Amino acid sequence: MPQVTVFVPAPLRACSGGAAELRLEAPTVRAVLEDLERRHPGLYRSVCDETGAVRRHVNLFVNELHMRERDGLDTALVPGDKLTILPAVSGG
Amino acid sequence: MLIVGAGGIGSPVARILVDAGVRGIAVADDDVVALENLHRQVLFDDRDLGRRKVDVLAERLPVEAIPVRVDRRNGRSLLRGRACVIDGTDSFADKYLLNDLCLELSVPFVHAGAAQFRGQVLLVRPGGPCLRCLLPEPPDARTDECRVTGIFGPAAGLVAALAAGEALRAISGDPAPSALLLADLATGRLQRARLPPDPLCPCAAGAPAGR
Repeated sequence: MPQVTVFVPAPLRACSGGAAELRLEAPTVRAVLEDLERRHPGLYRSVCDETGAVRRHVNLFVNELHMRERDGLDTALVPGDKLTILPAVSGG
Repeated sequence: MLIVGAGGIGSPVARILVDAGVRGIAVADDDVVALENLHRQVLFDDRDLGRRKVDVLAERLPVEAIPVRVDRRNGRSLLRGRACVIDGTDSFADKYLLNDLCLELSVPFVHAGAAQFRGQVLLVRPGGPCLRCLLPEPPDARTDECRVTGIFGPAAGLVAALAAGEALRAISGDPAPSALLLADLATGRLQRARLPPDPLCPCAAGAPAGR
């Protein structure tokens, strides 16, 4: 399975043991989230709602493309892909 | 050009744009300088505590001070006809308001936001993806309002520089497509990402205002 990197934003790092990056093996974005649900349930709940959908104030990018520009949760991943979790920011 | 919010993003944006030779800049804000602002609002110092931010800026830069909070009542008249509007606000409600009014008035809009060590900038042009394409609805109370989590000073400065650059692109007519610019100073990671229009976003129908 392809090894990919998940970038965890600072506000959610308390849910990833402080890690800014997680390396895991997963063939799709959905599989990444399933892995997070098992290993980092708090992080998963911050990204997905109770139905498993990505929360509307969170965006997921695969490399530089938003996942809705690919195949959403079914987006296939290849080795070296980078998945960025982007929660909202409002400060100024 | 109008900068809405004279804080950690808006005030450095004003400085950068003035130094770039831009004139006809107005800055709108009704807030006053507070001690907790000073680490990131580098145009102010402790002699300015308690003074209106826009008044201090207008003393130090050739900008027009508009000492009001932009809201639904005054927004259209303040934004109409501007070459560009830059978001230096610190609430989701204000960011949505500026996004929606700029789309309605066909004014280029530079959204900017920062929290903790990170920030983001998006140039919104008429017909292109907008803030609601990125964020259809505001998050719940757990998320990072700057008053709750704070902003690392350099993160605000970096986001301001990126926002000023996008504003200059907008007024110079640069046709390059908009991208979402992301910065995380906790890891030193800068990223450029493509934001596709959300087919469910009201901006796709050209009528986002009034939400």
